[in-house]
Amino acid sequence: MNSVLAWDSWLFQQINGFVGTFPLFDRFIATMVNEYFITVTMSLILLALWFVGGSAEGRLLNQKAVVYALLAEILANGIVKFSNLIYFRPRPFAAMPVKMLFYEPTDSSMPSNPAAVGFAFATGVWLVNRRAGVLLYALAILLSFARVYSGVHYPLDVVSGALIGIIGGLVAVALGRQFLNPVIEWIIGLGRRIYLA
Amino acid sequence: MRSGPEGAYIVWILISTVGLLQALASYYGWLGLSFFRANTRVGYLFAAIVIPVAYVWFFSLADRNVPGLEGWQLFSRFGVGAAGGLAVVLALSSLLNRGMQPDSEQQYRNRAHPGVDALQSDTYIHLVMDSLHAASLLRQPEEEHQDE
Repeated sequence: MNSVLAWDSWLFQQINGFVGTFPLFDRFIATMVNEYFITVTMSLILLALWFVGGSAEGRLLNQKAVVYALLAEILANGIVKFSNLIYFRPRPFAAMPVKMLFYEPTDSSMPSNPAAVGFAFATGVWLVNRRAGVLLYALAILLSFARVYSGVHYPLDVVSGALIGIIGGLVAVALGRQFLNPVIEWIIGLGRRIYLA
Repeated sequence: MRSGPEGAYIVWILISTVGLLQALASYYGWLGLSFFRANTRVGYLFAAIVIPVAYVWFFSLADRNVPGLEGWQLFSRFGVGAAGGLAVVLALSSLLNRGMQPDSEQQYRNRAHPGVDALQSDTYIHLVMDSLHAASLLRQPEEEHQDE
């Protein structure tokens, strides 16, 4: 376990060590790393997906994907909150000198909540709509990388967050398909009746 | 306007939602939802300007790499902003396209198969009013029957 964490710290230092080398890239990452840019972009993609589809049937699939993604996000968030209750990993800046591009959060470093949320959205959608899913995965990977590069997380934090997000997505879609489809279709049907789905 | 990141965040989402819906209206030919019924291509241009401007405005207003909104706040405020953007688009497009009149066959189809595609031939407010009117007409014979 200690050797894994030591390797994780080494990898973190390699990635974070690049801060300051390419100022333009630092600025790009500093824009991507916050709670707003990528999460809002992903949410806007989900909003667009609700309306996207050449026919009512095609749109129904995308609308289900949006509901699955939201459910996945709730599940992933719940797992992260629970894990934070039983395990605390200090942030990298608490253990070593770090070149920060972000403020210093005080909650547990592992697992990364933004990575969990990003991958939960992406997995929930990818299982239904591959193209939109790939786009969301790309954004989730960018966000995860930005969190490490900026000195906020160790690489294993974002990997564990991503795994939680993927598990959340898989469970959400399985639950949705097995048990929640009548409720989801009822909600979408209601949206159609008011011309918003 | 609310102070701090919250107000700016909601405005950012609201404006982005308006731009996004205009691009979708242009792509799917939802003329009743478009601000630019005469030339729907302008909808793409509008979205291409409005969305990046909203992003730039939000990020140039203040340093966003400081403690701000929490996860649940981001989620709920996104809902408020998106709902606001949707309301603006539905109201404004209905006002701008108030002269739009679907033919009776189209109107029947919109009633029989409600959904966002009905906005190809009618405005949102007219569709809702028409649905309410149709529902009240359906209810009338039932009420008369009960009176008897």
